[in-house]
Amino acid sequence: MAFLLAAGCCLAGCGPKPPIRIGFLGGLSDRTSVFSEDGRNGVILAIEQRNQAAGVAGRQLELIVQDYGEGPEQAAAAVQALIDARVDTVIGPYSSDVAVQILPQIDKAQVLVLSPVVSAVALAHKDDYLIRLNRTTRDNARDLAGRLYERGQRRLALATDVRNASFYLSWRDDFRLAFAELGGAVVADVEFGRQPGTLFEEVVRTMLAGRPDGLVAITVSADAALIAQQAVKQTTGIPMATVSASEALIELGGQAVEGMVVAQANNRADTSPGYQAFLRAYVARFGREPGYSAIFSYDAVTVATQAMARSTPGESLRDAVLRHQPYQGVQEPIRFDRFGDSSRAAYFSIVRNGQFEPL
Amino acid sequence: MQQARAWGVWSLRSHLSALLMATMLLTLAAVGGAVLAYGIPRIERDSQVALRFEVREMAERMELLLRARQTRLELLESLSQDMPPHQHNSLLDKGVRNGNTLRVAYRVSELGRVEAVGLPDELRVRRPDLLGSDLSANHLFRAVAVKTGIVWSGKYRSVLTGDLTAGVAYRDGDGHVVIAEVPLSDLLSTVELAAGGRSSSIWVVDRSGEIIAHTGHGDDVGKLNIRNWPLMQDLLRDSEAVQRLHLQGRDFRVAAAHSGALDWYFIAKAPVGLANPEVLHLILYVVTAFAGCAVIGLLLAPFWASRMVRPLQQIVARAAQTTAGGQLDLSWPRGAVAEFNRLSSDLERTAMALHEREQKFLAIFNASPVPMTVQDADRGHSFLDVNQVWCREMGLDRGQVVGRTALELGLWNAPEERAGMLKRLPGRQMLHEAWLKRGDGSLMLAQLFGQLVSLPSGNLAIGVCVDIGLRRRIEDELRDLNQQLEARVQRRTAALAASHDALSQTVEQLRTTQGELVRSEKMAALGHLVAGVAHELNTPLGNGVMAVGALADAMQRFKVDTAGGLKRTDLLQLVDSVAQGVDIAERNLRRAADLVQSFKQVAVDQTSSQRRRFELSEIVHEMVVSLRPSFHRRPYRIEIDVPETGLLLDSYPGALSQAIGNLIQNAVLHGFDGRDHGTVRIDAERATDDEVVLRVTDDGKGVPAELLGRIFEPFMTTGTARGGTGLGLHISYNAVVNVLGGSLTVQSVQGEGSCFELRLPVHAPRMQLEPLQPVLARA
Repeated sequence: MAFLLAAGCCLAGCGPKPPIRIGFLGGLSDRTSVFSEDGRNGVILAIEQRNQAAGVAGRQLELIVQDYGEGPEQAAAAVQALIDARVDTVIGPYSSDVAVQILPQIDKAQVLVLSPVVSAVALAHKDDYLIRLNRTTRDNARDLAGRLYERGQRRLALATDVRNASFYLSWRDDFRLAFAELGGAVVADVEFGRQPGTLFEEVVRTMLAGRPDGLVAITVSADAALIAQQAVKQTTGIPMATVSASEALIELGGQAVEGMVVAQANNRADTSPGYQAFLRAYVARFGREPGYSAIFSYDAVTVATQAMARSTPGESLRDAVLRHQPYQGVQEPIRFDRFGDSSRAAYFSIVRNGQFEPL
Repeated sequence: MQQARAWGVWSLRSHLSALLMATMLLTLAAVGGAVLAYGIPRIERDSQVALRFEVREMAERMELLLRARQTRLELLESLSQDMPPHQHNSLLDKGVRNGNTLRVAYRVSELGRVEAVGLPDELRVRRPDLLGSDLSANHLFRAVAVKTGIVWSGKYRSVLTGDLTAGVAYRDGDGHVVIAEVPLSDLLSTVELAAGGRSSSIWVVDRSGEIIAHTGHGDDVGKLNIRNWPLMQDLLRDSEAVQRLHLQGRDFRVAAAHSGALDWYFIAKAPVGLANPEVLHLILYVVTAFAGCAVIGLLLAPFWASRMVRPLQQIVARAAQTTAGGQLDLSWPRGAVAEFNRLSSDLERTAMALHEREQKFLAIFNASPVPMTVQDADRGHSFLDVNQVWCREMGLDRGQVVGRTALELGLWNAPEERAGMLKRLPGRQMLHEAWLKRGDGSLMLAQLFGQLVSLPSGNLAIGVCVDIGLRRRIEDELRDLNQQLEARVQRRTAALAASHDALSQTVEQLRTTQGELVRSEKMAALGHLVAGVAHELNTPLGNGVMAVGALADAMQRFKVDTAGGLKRTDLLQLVDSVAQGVDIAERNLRRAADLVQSFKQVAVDQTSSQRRRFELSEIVHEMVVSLRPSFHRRPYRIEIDVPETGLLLDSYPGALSQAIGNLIQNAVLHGFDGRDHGTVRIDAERATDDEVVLRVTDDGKGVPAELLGRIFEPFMTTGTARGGTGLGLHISYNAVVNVLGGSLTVQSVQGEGSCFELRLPVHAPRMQLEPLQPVLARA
């Protein structure tokens, strides 16, 4: 009997502890897969680094990736798969539309979801199981509106992608509101993406019809580049701005995107040792530079693991995340309000000579 | 036995079933194990080869696909060079056709401006978007700008949608670049189609470690980045890739191939061990065979075993029946198993033998003349059996007795004794006397003998009960008789003692008389001796006297003759006569002196018990000389054959000469009685170093055989009438045996003579000689 007890203690004490399962929810096979892929890479890097540092309280982290593919249709199944896999927390999703859709599901399952990038206002100020690390579209929109207004633009033409409606439409609405508050006017507001095969030449023509003094592409980088290509063909010297920036913008935009103002959630010019170390590690691991979703996803894992490490027995992860803040992110400290919403600084860049430069 | 208990006791049928099952299953396990041990590594090896072949084939197929597209692109560019620019769009449209092979193709100027675009029908509306676009930052354009020829990219961002796709760029001699986008999905589906229904799961991995396709129903796309895996690192270094992979807790075999154009890697992985379907199938076959055999065995083994065991069960039943006292004459079962038949025969013989033995012991039991009982010691000593003598003795029937105890039958006169007796029974044997009550109420004094016998079936008490009443009476009578006998014996003993005393006195008187007679005999002998000596001396002395007389006559005649004058012839005659007379006188006197000397020695020897050393011949000669007068004028001769020297004795010469003398006298007196001739022969020789033998032999009448045994007894003679005392030989015998320490034996054949043999020790024992002394003193 004593022997069994001793063996039991030994097994309990010496055996490997069960791993902490971290779910990843991203759109890995859709148009924006690079964005999710970046995020997934950030999560992979964070988990690998944490595991090398003996995990959390001796428990290793295990990544379970679920792809929601083209969008909301597959999201519920992907989330359910993660819930079934009894994940401790979920990093994702990378689409506001998906986030809005899965919110009831995760609240019901009481699975804490840390979303690195979603920023739709619809998701903010809710006492739910979604913790957001990004600022809201409203903040972004206000900031960009202010910045463009500062740059002397008063008549803006907008092109809005409707394929991630929660994000882009709310972005657009907030922008319009903010810009109007500043005294500017939106002279054209074109929506696209409802049908496949959008002809951007027409989109731009419509935008230019209102004689704007600036164009704003509220869409993904690739589409922003294509819009810019059309703009330079149809007019000259009109300032342009877009709401997010990735390498696709420059690659597809070429000369057309020179001078474009870009609202970014991360500071590309960050020289802090923390960021530089992250940058080196990321490049070494994946052979390319991190996008902001990679940085934010890395931060999300940091928040989750630090909260777990700091949590007291019986404390839910959601409470722990909110209680044990702030957390040190790659580029800045992360704080949450009581709804689990975060606020971050906005960074603006401008494309010069095929490079993003801080504005 | 311990082992058997640990497993419990099984029936033979179970054992046989288990044996059959175990044999079959162990054989199968061994064969199955061998099949698996040989088969699994072989399957694994073959799988690895197949896997490698598969990925190579896939990579080659991919290269083939790409080459077809590349060829088309080159053709388009060479055609476009020969065409006016306004026809370029339609040329490229034709090249793209339905967009399956090339989704979009565009001709880009040296500066990166799109000059012509070929699109499939459904995308053709997008042409204005693309025409005139600046692609100077496009990485394919940039890549192909530095060299002439073909550049492929597996991660080309579509200018139409921003999607990642495959792209190929061709730069002609004058700096124009034709770029075509190849839909990834098209390539991958082609590849997947080529993979067909193969089970292996193949990853298509780009250089950044991203899985861009996964065949075989795999869904690893997007979920992994294997760039830092040792496998991928090996591939990126173009070194030999590792062949094993551990993923999500499972082991896989891997094989990789590289497609250079798109810089894609085809990594096939197949599970190892049980997850390998072929291995699983093999194991399943083996297990199925095992299970099938087990089922067959389970169905067959008990059936077969029970068939085999049936004869044995019949034998067992028959044996039980026999043991229970069933009929003996029933036949014993026989079956198809030789050993069982032998067993059956043996048991039959055993049963018969047992039965016979039982009968024999029952007969012995009943034939026993003593009453015997067998009691169950474990069940209150109730009777199991009693023999007929017991029934007769006790006046009870066997039927009344069996199953009941002695108490119940009221056999004990004093029942309390029984408990005491039984208490001693565990000591295995006991003897007890008690009064028992017979069936008719009469009492019987019985001696009870009991012995406890431990048998495997229980303890038995074998009892014997003997009626000792009669014996007790006889014993009492015997005791009385004994006492009377003792008194009679005492009386007889007293009478005998008185007779004995009287006899003793008589014997003493007789002994005294004998001594007197012996002395008389010796005296007589001495008388003879003296007479002989006188006789012997008489002749020489007579001769001497006669010679002296003759001398005196001669002197007288001389005197007479010389008176007339002396004449010479008278003188010479006188001298001759004197010389002759002196000679005769001297010789006869010397002879007389010799005789006296010899006689003196005999007398000294015979009259003293002197012990001295002497030659045997001396004594014999002296004795013969002494006795010669006895032979005087008798026709008997004495021959002596005794060596002069060499037979030296340290002994008593008196006793010896007395013995020899008596023997010679005996021969003359008895042997030669009535005969006119006879020779006594005395011879001696050395028998051993310590012993001399002397024989006195005569050729006389011999001794009758009936007297031969008593010849040395006193007063034993045949010649009493002729003056024999009957003591001569007795004295000789006493002298030889008691004085000289030797022996005297006689051999005689009637009519042929006798031979007395004396065996004399060289050194005679020292002892007192008493009988001769007074006789001689008086002589």
